Amino acid sequence: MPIRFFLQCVGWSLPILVGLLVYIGIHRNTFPAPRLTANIAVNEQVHRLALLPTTQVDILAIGSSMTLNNLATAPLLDHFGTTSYQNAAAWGIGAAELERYAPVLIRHFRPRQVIVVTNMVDLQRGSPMGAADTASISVHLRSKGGPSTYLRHWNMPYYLRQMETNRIRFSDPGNYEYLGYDAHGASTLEVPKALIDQGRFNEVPPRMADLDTARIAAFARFARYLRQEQVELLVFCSPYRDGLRTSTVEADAAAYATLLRAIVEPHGHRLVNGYEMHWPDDLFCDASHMDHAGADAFTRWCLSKME
Amino acid sequence: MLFNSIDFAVFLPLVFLLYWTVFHRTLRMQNAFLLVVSAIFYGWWDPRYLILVFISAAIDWSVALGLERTTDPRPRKLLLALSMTANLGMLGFFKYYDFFIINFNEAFQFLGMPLSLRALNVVLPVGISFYTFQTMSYTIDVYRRQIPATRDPVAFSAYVLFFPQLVAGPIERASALMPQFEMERIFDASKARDGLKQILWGLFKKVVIADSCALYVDKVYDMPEQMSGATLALATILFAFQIYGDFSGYSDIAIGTSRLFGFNLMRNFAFPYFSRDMAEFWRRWHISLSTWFRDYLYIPLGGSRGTKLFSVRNSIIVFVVSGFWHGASWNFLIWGALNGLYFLPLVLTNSNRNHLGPVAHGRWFPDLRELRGMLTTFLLACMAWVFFRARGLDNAVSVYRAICSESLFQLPLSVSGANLKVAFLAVAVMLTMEWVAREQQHALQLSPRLPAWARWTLYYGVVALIIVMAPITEASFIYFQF
Repeated sequence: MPIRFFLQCVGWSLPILVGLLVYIGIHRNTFPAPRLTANIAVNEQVHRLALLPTTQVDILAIGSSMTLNNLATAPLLDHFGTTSYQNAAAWGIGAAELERYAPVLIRHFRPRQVIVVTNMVDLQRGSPMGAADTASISVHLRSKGGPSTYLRHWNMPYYLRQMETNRIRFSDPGNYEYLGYDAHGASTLEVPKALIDQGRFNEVPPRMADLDTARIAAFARFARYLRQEQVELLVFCSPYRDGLRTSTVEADAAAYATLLRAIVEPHGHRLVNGYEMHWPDDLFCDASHMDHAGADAFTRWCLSKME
Repeated sequence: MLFNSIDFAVFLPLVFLLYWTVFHRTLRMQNAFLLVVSAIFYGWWDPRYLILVFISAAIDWSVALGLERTTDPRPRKLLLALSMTANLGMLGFFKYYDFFIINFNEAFQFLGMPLSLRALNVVLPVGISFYTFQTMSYTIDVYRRQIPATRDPVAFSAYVLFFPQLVAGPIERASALMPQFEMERIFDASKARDGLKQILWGLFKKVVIADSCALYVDKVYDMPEQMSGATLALATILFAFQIYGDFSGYSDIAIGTSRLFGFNLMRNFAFPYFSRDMAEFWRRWHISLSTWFRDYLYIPLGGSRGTKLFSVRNSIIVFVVSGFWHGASWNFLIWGALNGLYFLPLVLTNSNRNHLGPVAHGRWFPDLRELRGMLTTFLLACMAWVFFRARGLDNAVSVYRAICSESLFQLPLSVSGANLKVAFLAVAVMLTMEWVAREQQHALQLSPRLPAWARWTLYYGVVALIIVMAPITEASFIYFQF
């Protein structure tokens, strides 16, 4: 009798399971990455990296949305003449998160060079990442993106909701949360001019006084760590659009570049300051995120300055 | 272990299968198995605190045996005092020690004689207020010779630790639950089916109602000083539904789960927001606690015998103690006292038992008088909930100040991460379903006259809403902190 009841319960839940499976099957292309951390972009990027057939990458780009959106792939491939390049950036990876996130990736991919595109916001705030998050990332990379991670990070409401959001997030470069990665993990934006969010477009850059000393120290430790690992760091300072570059912004940008230079150069790393050039407003989707043409021009210019 | 977790979703079917297929042969096996799985359920949170539950059970089991062995009133009183001291001492230490220390320090500071007694910041063991009251009820009933003492320590420990109601009730009376542990349970499919429906409805109330409302309420009550009166009023109304969904949802899951194992637990909520006055509200809200205080505090104090003043005094004492049971803070004391004040006019005018039957009996809709009574009762309850929800008296005063200002007439603010439309829709669905089922035990006890397709559509609809509307994080139950 109880067994029969139990089987009845299983029977009653079958339509729900079948319904869910059909729904997931129809929208399988937008099924989200395992919920390794609270940061959706990190989860998607790590899952993509875990599914790569290789664990050897010569050049690895790591960082926030500056690296994800403003570092175009084609100029890099042209410049370095290698296909062994991956962009592992995600929104919210500021300086403090970089210190936690990067070592996991560096142990896994053993790159020769690391590129970080950054602006002042990275030294101001980020999306917190703890030891548990980096442990989950490490396990998932080692498991080659195996489905067991979904069981360890099971959360049905999360996966169903992200599936819905990903329908736009994965396909529309006009969306600021666009995560339609190219083959190397970059995700350049292409927001139609009419749809540019004016709030974001006119957002004033932070002041030097707003920077977080703990994050500055974290970035210094990150630069030192890379030297210990014999990995070269290339830092590209990403500029704000011309329309926002007042004398105050210019002064802060110069101080910011000086600060970063003082951190990276003693370790033999290099820095290119994007503020040395003027970047017209029509290359931007908001105050600091460039569109595809902007990212292409910015990346080419930075690489040319390295020669 | 939380009822709304994946852990419990695996635990429950596994325990159900083992209970009815492997450990069903004898009563002793059934009880021993329930004891083990209940310990696992509780220990999932922190196994160290199991010791406290077992100490409480051991004391009351031994005291009850002692009570039965002697007829001499003096040692009987001593034994009862021993049980009360042990249980209330444990509760007092873990729950109230820091409160009294902090208040002593402040009072002596005020009098110019500073004390520096140290607060201990001890962690409150989950469910301590519930299981100590349940074990005390057993000892008192044995003392009153209403039930015999059990000689079976396993059955008694299983009664104390019974996992569905261990951490947040219903607080069962020994006379109702203990005999069920002394009688072999036989599987009853219709009871199990109804239990399953009640679990489903409880999950809906917790996951969809309480957790959706919490997204708005938590953010607004985190910084009431920055919110308008309208925003705070809306958050307070949503909190009324949050706490109802949270606690009655837990009770429904507990009762439904017990039914899967052949047990009947007492009803804990009877659609309290359809009450026409505050007396009716308290007959329908947290029934197991209200009746506990009635049987073990109000009646021993003299109840309604004697003068009106005497009866009023007893009612106020019960409400204040009940408030203090919820937590060691002035807010809960005031919340209890305020509810006592609401009750006063009803006692004084002998109208506290005006509404004993269901509202709008035999009709689809309430009449205007009933509607007015329900709305007034709901508003009074909401006014008291401010003290229950606010973090400290200052916070509560800020809420009242804003609600009583002209900012009450502004549009309420929306809060990032909280979807008000979802919360309103969920509350509307719950109120409609519960109104239709207001003469039943729970909202999914649907009329057999309803066609099967309609019933199944409703069941699957509720499941779909749970899946679609569930918040991403598993939220704990509010009453765990008591």
